[in-house]
Amino acid sequence: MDQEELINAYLEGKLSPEDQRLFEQLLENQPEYKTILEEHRQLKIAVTLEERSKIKDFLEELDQKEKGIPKSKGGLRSWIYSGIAACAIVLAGLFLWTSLSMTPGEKIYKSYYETYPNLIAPTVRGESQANLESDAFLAFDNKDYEKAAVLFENLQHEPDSDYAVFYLGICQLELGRPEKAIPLFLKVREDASNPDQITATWYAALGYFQLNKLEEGTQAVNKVARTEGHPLQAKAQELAEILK
Amino acid sequence: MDVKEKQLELLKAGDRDTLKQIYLEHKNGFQLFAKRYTSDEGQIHNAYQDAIIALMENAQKGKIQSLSSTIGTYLFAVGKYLLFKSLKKQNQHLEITEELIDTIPFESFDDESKEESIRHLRQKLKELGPKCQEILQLFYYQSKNLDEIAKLMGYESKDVLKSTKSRCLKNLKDTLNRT
Repeated sequence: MDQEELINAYLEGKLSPEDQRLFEQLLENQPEYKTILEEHRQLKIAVTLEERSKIKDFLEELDQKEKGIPKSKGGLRSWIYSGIAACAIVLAGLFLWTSLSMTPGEKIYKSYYETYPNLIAPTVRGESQANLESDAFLAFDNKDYEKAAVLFENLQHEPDSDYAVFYLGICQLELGRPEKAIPLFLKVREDASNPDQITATWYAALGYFQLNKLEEGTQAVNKVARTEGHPLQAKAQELAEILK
Repeated sequence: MDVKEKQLELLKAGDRDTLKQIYLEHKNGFQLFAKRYTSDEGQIHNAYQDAIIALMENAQKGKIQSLSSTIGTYLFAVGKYLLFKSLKKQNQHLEITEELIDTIPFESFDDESKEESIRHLRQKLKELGPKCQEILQLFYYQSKNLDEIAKLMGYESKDVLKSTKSRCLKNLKDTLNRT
């Protein structure tokens, strides 16, 4: 390692404890090294600040561009009329296409999926003390699943928030991302109570159906159907019958 | 390789498109999250930008080999720490937990940025040629070693790079001494 690389590694804290001790000894014994180290440190800070300022300029530019996105003016009548006509044709086509092209799994999903309600933090009007949990459920209740997902994601690392993984999964299902939702439901622990693991299994099954993974979906449904006394047992049994 | 790892790889390579994507993706979420601690939007904005820079720097320096959490969670944790630090400077009483500090290797150099010698040095760095600027950037900012830089910049040998780097530093010193 060349001398400058050694100093760089020292300033980055990358030296092994033994090398660091030797290097500090060298600094003690040969004061000229202290001057070299200080020069190096100053240069490192100056280059770092210069680079950061370039990145910040780039980020500011992004902010400006985002603010400056021109909004559609929509002042031209002819454009509106032709727009409406085009939309009508597209919508009619889309309706036919979706109902004809839905996979068997998607049809099951559509018939059985219901948004799991907020049973954790009912939104209380006029409550001034906001916290992450209430923000997340407020967004959830307002069907702003994108925002709720961000908040639940952050919430799942807080203590006593086992439910966050589950609700994050629901948000992902609502946003049409079953592939992200399924692993979250599978993470819900066996001893979870609100909501419990079987409820999570039910939603994992629905995620599989949305992806048209019928085999995995059926397995999960059967597990729910076998759980005596569970509120979802009857529904699961009914679906299990259909899937036979 | 999943999306997160791919994004980290691209960040390591300094890819601006990935930086842009990550920055815009988590911006609104962070603002929302940070408003619980302060209503000062300027401070929130700064903390978020610094968190983005920390993510990029630590990826480039190999300090993030793999993230146990998502990129968003990492940004929120770093941003929260940086926000608390700047709020603390204004004597607001907030607890910065040790756990938070341990996970975040980021030095903001606020005091140093005001030092005259650093300011002078920054000014003179801008006057160097593009090649010198790139070498110094890779060496001092990204903490790459000379072998890596030689390979990245297409030098035929480490020695050629070494003498170019010495020339760059000599030029820098000369311009500093002239003023």
